[in-house]
Amino acid sequence: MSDNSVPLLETQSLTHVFADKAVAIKNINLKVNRGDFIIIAGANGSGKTVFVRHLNGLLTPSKGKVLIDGVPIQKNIAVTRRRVGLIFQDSNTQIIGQTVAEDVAFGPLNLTLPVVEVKRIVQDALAAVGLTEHANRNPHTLSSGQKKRLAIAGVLAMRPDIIIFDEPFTGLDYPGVIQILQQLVDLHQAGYTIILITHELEKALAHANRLIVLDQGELVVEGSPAAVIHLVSEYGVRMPLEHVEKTSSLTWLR
Amino acid sequence: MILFHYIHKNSLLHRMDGRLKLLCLLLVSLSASFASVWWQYLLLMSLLIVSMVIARLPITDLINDLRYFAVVLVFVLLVNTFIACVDPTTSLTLKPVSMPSFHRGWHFAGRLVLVILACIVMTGTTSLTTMKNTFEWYLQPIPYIPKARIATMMSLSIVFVPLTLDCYTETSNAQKSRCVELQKNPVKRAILLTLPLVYRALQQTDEIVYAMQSRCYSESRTQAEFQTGKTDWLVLVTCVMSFLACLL
Repeated sequence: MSDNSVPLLETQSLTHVFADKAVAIKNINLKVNRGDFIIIAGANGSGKTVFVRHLNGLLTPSKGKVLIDGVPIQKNIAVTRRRVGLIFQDSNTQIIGQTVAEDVAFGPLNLTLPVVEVKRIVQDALAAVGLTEHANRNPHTLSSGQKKRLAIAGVLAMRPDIIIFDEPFTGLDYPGVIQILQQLVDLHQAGYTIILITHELEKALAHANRLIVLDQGELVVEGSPAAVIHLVSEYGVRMPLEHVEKTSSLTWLR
Repeated sequence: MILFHYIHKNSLLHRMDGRLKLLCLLLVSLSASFASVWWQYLLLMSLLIVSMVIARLPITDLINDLRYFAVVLVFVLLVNTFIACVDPTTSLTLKPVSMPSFHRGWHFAGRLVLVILACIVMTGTTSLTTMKNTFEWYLQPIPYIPKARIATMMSLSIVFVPLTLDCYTETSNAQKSRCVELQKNPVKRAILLTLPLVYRALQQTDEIVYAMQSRCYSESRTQAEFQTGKTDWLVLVTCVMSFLACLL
């Protein structure tokens, strides 16, 4: 389905209550359109990770639903997981293969693609993130930045429409952040819809067309970065604009 | 730590058919349990060291990592040296040390070392995908069981060994940096180490499950393609001969 009036991804009254009755997210309504670059910010424990884990069906909502192209994701969870790629905050836990190439091949093999095609997809994905020369290395010996890129390659190999990055800059040094941010921008320019969780708005806000803030599980701010940036400090997110006036200057890419 | 990690090389053993390799592991483990005289231990030890050399595994690093098993080996040695099993179902008693019991202790420790080395060769030269496909192939003739699920569980449990060892090293170092050595009670120290280790292992398991699910893991994946070369059969024949030498 490619009806432009239907959002690519949509959540309706999405609510998640843990077994101990703690409410993780509450009544979140969000529409993600094709080509969007959305930043989700919020203090620790605001429900960002729980929210995005619903978007590819890893968590089942207590109430509400997630739709992809207007169809509830539960109708075909495997297709949803292929189309909505998720890069975890801790790349170590995302590593499944024992070599870099084997890890990237994990997804395509799950999709029962022929071995020859899997090999080609793995080569393409590794080339896209600049890890070709590390194909036979033990992924656990890669640097933090390389592990993040491996996680991206693993998701790219699934040919997704949307890529969700859960705090991708955590634990990276300056060159590492630049590399991942550049990768993110390149992917967006290549046509992928991007959802980025971060509370470090000064690193990437210039590239986003929408900014969303979660607070105690509720969606409290939503709009274009320029329109809502002045609201973020009320919800535990550092206001990045002090001496500059435009959100377009908020990037670490120069 | 690289113990039980897959180490990618382009060697004879890395290219070997996983099905025959698993059979070889079984044969070497059985040979170790039947070994009773010094030359049999020497034969198996030589076979395993030659395998490690052929596979170009980093022997020095691996032996260095084996120090974590030293405690287990000493425990096995002591138990077999000092404990007499009077009636296995009811009681265990301490016995005076004699040369036969001391020898028995060495035999058990030696067998354990051989089995550990055989597992190192297997895990060091076999990727997770090959391992899983191999288990699945062997389970194929058994009806009414979820073969793919069991194979995945078996291969993942092998992945968890190095992860848990890594976790152990990290937790242990974190505790040492906070002077855990000053705690003289060994039971308390063991508890202090075990609880966070188990907690982290469970957390890690959860995250790996999520990671697998998010990349569409299911039991019907691309089917394995096994290829058996002449050298694979030669390796198997060598293992069979070693087995016979230990059996006779």
